[in-house]
Amino acid sequence: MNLNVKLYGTLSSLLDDYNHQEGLDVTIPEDTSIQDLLVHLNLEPDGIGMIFMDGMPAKKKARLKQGARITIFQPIFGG
Amino acid sequence: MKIIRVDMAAGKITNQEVVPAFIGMGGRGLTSFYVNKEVPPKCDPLGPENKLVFAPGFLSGSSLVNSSRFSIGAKSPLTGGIKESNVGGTVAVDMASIGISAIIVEGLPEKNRSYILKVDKEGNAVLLDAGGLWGKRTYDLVKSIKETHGENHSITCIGPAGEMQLSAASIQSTDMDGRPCRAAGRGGLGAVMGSKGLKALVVEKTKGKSTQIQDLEAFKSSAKIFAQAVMKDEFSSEVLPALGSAVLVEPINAAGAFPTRNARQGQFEDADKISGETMAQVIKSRGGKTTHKGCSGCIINCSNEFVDEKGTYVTSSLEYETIWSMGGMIGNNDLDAIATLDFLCDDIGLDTMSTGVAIAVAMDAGYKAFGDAKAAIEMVEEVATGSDFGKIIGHGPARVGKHFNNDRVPVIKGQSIAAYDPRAIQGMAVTYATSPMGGDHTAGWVVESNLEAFGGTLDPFSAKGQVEVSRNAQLHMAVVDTVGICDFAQTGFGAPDGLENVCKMIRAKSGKPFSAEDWNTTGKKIIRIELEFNKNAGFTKELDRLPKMFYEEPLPPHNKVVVISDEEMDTTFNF
Ligand code: SF4
Repeated sequence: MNLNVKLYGTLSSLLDDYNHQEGLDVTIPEDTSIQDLLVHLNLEPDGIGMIFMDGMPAKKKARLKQGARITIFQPIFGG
Repeated sequence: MKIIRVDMAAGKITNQEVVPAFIGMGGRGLTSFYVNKEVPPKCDPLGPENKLVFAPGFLSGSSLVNSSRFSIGAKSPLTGGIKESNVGGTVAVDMASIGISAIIVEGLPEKNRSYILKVDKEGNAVLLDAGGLWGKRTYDLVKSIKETHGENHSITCIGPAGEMQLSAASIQSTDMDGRPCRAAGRGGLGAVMGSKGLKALVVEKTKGKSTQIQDLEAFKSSAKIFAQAVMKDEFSSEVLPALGSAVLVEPINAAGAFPTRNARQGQFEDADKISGETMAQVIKSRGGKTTHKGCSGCIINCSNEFVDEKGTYVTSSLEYETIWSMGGMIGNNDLDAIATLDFLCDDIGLDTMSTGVAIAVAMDAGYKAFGDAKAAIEMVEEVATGSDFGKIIGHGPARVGKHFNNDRVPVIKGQSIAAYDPRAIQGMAVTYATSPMGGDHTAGWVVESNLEAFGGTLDPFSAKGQVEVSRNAQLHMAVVDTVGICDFAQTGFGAPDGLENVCKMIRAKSGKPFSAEDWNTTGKKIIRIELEFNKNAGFTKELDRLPKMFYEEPLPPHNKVVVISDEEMDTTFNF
């Protein structure tokens, strides 16, 4: 299935040829999870704080949906 | 360490010892203690009985990194309750290094008299006539003071908004480059300073000196461990320097928690135009600075220098909360206008959050269209003119709501929320509602436990567990604000045995026992003092509620409302 992935913060520097306007088009086997996507992208789970699938917060085990927009953020801290 | 008391009525200055019960306290602990002890809770916040207390953090002026927070306390003209607002910059380190624990400013001056309070590097304080300085905006003020007294000073001051005693007036303080761009914004403390006729506190810098530490070796080794943890954490060592706190725009917006157009929506469709990522690109392409040290002893450098297309300085330390209040909250997608509004607020001496929300409430009432950046700039400029309408804006959102008969006013105890909508992050509902400070995000920032669903913590739309995380965060922050560690350096607590490591530094500084258990009791003690003051000022638990818009209007895109019940709210401080 196909997904569009956007990376925020300083994550984008981890991938070559990443264009933030367009995001990254990813093709990944059916029936895979958020976690599998991270492995596919070579992203360390420790460096990830939040993931949204079509605007909804998604957990590690969430199944990916065909055509989903995935946005990935680093852990945040503030106040 | 000593306390300097300044009697504005008599023009008299006295030096005292810290009250024994509060030896070993600094920052918020000290300001709240003195305010509760010495200010009659029902007094007029702008009258002679209120006191303005300045206190560096307990660990400020030491070798610990990022410990340069400066607490300012008083009874707030905005909330009517106790207030502590803290600011970075350089003043905390300078004051602590001279050996001053607090400055207490009391009484009112003779009519039409105004002063600056100057403290030299030996710790001697004098009141000087402000003369022509009164009336100046902060950037110009700082320039004049430096011309007279020399570059080598930390300046903490008010602009015209404070002079006019407006409830959204901030106290500004100079950063590492001597610019008055750092703000103790919340609670209208600038108005209290204005009522005292105090235009500026000018503290001579003390190169080479540092605050007294009983066990220097022990302190140094713990400070090193703390600094290593800050540098090891990606957020504080990589993300903040690159993008600043503005990095929060995209994730908070993605979570549907970015209050937009006076909190009618939780997502701003143009968030990408004002995001940290975009801002960094813009600044870089124009030759500004994306990484900038704002405060003494900082190793994170979350600040920035925003420049215009010609490369000319516009403002410094443009932060997430301002990008929200002057951006999404007023429907404005123009980053340059946001930077200008940030500068104007710093220069006029206004809290960017209260002012942005005040504009949002006016726009919501139909006074001007959302997104009209030019109108927003005019409204802020109007505050400085002292016109009737300018004063209404300068008194903050509640006054604006009254003026336009608009009850969609996102304030708690008179103070506006910050850049996290409580309907999409329920834990923030608890903090906003119950903090003795009024709507305040730093008092108990629980965003990460709500949103970092990836690791699986709390459900941001459910009440479950929210009171507890907010309580714990509020108790913890009360002590963080007391020791004077910057919020962003809290990653230093991530060292192995992180809390114990910080307690070690407290022990090493004071020479007295202080355990992790004491950390918790100190948090409780401070919150109790603050609640006691508010109760005596007439606060009831009915004030620990959000405005009804948050309970009744579902927030798109998730269409949720606040679900924390009143009973649950009331258990927040059941200790
Ligand atoms: S991280 Fe930012 S706010 Fe904190 S001390 Fe550094 S410059 Fe100041």
